[in-house]
Amino acid sequence: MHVVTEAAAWGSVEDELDNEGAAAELKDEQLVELARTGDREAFGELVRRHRARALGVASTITRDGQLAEDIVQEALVSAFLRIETLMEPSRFRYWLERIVRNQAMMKLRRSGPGGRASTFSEIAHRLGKLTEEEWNDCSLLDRMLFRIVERHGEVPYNETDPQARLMRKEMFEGLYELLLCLNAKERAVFEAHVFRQLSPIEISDALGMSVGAVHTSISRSRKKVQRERIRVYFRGYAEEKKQAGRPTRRVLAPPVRL
Amino acid sequence: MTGITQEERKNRTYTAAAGAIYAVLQYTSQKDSYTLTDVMGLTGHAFRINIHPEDVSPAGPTMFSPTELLEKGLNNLGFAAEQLYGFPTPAPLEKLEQAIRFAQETIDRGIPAIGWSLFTAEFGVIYGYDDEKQELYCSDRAQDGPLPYAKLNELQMKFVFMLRIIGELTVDPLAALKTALAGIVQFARGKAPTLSDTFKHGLAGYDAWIQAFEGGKVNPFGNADNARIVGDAREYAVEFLRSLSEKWTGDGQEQLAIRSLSQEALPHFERVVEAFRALQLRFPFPHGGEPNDPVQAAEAIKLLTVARDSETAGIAVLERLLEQLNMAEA
Repeated sequence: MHVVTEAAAWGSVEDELDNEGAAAELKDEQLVELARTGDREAFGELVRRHRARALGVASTITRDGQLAEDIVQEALVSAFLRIETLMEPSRFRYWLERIVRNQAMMKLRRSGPGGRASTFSEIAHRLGKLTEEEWNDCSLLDRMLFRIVERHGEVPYNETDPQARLMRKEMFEGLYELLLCLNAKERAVFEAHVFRQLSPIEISDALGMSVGAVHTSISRSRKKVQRERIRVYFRGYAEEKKQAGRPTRRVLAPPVRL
Repeated sequence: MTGITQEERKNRTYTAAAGAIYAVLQYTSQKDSYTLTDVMGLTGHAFRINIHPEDVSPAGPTMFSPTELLEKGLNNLGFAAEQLYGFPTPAPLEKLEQAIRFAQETIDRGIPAIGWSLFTAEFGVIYGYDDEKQELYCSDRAQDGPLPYAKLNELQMKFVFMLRIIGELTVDPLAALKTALAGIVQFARGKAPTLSDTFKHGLAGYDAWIQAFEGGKVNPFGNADNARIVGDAREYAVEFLRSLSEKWTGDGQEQLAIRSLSQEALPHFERVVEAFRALQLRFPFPHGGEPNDPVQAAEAIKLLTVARDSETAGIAVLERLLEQLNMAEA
């Protein structure tokens, strides 16, 4: 997949930045436009400009330098992958920060002491942003997506390692495979929600839909993606059984009518 | 629609737990040992009633643990069973896999699993799987056919529960009858383990039902549903009592007691059945008529009073039978 290959190769972008090319002269919105055409140097410049600040946001939330690094890396990959969905190129910085913040919170929710609930209150206390309801609203999907990212995170983040690169590729392929189950409209809403990290109200403004319709769409999409996730999971299950030489189908005579 | 016809009744019941047990038994070596009437009687399902005193909720019949509804009955029919540790949905993938494995293992042994709320909020049977198509093959009152693995995460009752047979036990028919009678009497006296004290089971269920009609907040669907389930169960109760005289021939003390007392109990339960047939005509499933209309309610209360008094007399006879069987043993 086109975009996946680029994302996988993106780790080398930062190195190219040392070249201090013409990109440095451009405004954020111009860089975003270029990045959208696949210009990796332009994206590299965006990274150079905003990485430190993004790292600051992540560090403030996690209070853990290494974890903050990981979060920013993941956020940048996510941003690169979805840059074509950014509606206001001049707001790249805020967009990136939002991704960082959300990813940082996801990490904390998962790893904090006492599990999800207490971690949530901890975060809510720190940020004073999300209500319990909002968190519940996004948790299932986030968990699902996070699981994909998590699998990738098990290996050291090293783009020169072919194994790591392959893992990353698989991760994005997995994610995209899941999203293929959505129709165009659902994808637009879903991507705005997941990748651009917008609230339903912001999405309703951006896409000209009612807030209710956005909620419905997110909830329906989440359900579809979850079903897809289950399908992918059980494909592996069937594969394992086949390799072990165990039966993958057995249907007994239908029972008497109940 | 007043119930299942006599012809259909040979193999069907509105008590889905008993129907599922009967369906699964057909795959075991004991398939010719029990009729559905035997299953209804020996599991005690023919004698159950559980009523919410305010609205006659349709949840009544299943407000008991699977141990009460399925496992104890299976044990009394000579089967050891095992329950999946049930879980609410949506659930993690590993949980779903566990449930699917649970069903597959028993299907691989040639016996379906019993599942909860597969297509409708009732017990049903899981009799096949296909890992390539990712489908379970299921049957319940609502439907027979494939249930995608992913749908397990979206069942109507948002809960996954399964039970499977794991072996056969040796049961003595007389001991099984005594166990059944003890369970029937315990249930009638309102002493069965239940999931909610608000619902009233056994003879007290009739009073709860009457109370609901007096209160005027009867749920028409729930009322009609309970009327057809309890009425259908009592039809089986009558058949079960009849079958006892045919089965327990011989001149031993126990056989004589079983024959005479089951015959004595019979007319009481026949009157219960008549009352329920009238109730079903008045409150047809599913729309349920006008249970909160004062005239209708007054008629319903008359019928339920007859049913309660007749069942009270019938249970007293079965209690005597149990005592005599216990004494004979001692």
